[in-house]
Amino acid sequence: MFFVALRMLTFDTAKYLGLIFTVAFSTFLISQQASVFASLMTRTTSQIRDVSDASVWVAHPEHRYIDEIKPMPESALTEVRGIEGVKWAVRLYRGLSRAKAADGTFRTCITMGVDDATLVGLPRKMVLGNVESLHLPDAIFLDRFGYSYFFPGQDFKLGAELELNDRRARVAGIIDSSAPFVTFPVIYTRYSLALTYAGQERNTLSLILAHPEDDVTPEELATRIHEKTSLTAMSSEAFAWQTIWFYVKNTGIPVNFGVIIVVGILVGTVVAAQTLYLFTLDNLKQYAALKAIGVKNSVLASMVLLQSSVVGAIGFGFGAALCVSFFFFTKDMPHLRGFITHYEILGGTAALMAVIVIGASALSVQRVVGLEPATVFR
Amino acid sequence: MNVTNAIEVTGVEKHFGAGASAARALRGANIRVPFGSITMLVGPSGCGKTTLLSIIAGLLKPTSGNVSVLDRDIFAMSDSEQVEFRRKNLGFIFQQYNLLPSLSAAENAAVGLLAAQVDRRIAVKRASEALKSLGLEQKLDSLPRTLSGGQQQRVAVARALVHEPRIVLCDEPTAALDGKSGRAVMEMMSAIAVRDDRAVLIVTHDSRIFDFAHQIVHMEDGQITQIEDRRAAAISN
Repeated sequence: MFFVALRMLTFDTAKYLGLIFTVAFSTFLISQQASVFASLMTRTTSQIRDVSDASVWVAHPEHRYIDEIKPMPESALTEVRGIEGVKWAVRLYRGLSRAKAADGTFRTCITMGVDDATLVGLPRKMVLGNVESLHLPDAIFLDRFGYSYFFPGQDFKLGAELELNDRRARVAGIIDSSAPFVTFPVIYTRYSLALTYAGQERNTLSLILAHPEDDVTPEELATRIHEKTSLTAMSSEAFAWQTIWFYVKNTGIPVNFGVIIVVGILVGTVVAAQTLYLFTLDNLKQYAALKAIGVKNSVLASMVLLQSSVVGAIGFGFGAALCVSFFFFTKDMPHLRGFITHYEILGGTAALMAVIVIGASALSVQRVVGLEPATVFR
Repeated sequence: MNVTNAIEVTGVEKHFGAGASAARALRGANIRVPFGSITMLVGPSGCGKTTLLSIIAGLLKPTSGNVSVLDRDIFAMSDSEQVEFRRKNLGFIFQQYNLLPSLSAAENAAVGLLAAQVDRRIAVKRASEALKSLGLEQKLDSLPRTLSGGQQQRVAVARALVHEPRIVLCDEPTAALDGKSGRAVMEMMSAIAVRDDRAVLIVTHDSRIFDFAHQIVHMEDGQITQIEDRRAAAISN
């Protein structure tokens, strides 16, 4: 009887496409909005995720998240290096500086200063140039989108100059850094040079990057550092989550996105479930005839479930493809970079759509099973 | 045991609703439908004909009384036994044909066999043969909406008969047809469905087809008011 179920489903093309569209729309709405939210939160941790060499971050006890750093005295680095289990520890500067191109183009930039000797803290993806060239005088690495801000329409080229705090900076490399929360250009340079680009402060040590010995986990090391120095220390992952939670608790972003996502889920659920249910109601007379002829309830239930599953699977496929396509085609837009399809969200959306399909099928099956076949005689 | 009646209905009552507002659709109906006959159930609208037909088919439970079909009490069966019994032994022809609009004529006629899990190709082949015998060899692949009323009813007849049921139950099978088509359908019914081990029960208003009946049961206000035995009448005349 399954071919009968499929014929019933596809016979009215407009109705069939309507069902598919409804599920696809719901899938797109839920997965796209949830992915935008997740991507936005991920963007808040871009500078943390770009550091792949170190696994422990040490900061002043009064810091709240990566964008609100209170500098530490230089002695903090010595203290951290002296703790058992620390394989190495290096400085990291993070601050904002004003950069100006020769044509007067002005931008506030996120400036990261990495350890002069080891260059620990640099993102590993170079678009142009090589890591060692950061040792050159006045050398900075600029992220590729920052390059496009300062030098619009120009091909990537090394040697271009910027002015930072009245000092010359030469682009010695172009990197592919993760998109920051605010789309400021990101500059990487040596720690010593970063300090000259920043305004003078008594303490300048923003952060310390540390790495544990082989037999020590990042979490264990972070605990030790905190206990010995009273500084805040945490693993990269914990540090990223601290930043995310700061935004969750202190901005209206989660509430507003949460409302949109909940509305999306509600609208998606109600519309998709109702459409599937109404489709069965439209065919009740046919089910009654089949029932009268001698088709068992279990077979009718399977037919309804098959119809819903086919619509759910195809609709989800289209919706997911639409969501992936949206992020694929917008990935190179400067203000939308870093927004990606989160496959965990697609998985969750698939599970939700499955629940909707099963729920709608259950309601439909209830109607079909409870249907009096005698209605065919009326 | 020599069973002569395909259907025996004894003292069947059917009430819709309860208490003082209950509607008594059937008030102690008694009929017997012998094998090898066409029995017509006639009477004004609302007299309980279709309710009685639904009860005989096992689609509606009586409030009281006994219904024996092929010598079995269908309401003593479990739901699944009832469905199985219906699928094997009963064929239905509805007033509105109730063909599935998405299936071809041959596939529609095969639905009863498909419900019995007969292989799709075999089922459609057998249904096609049934349709050919009803003069629809040119319409096997046609959808119901492209068929005339008479052709659709012939597809319904094929669907009702293709699994060779012993009893065919019809609800106003000619009501939507012109006189010629109605007679053609009834001639087919007479030729195919009426055999010694089979019986046909038809609910109808259509006096044009009364000639085909071996027995006419008159109903009024939920009661059987008269039973005309046309075979006996034919013999005595």
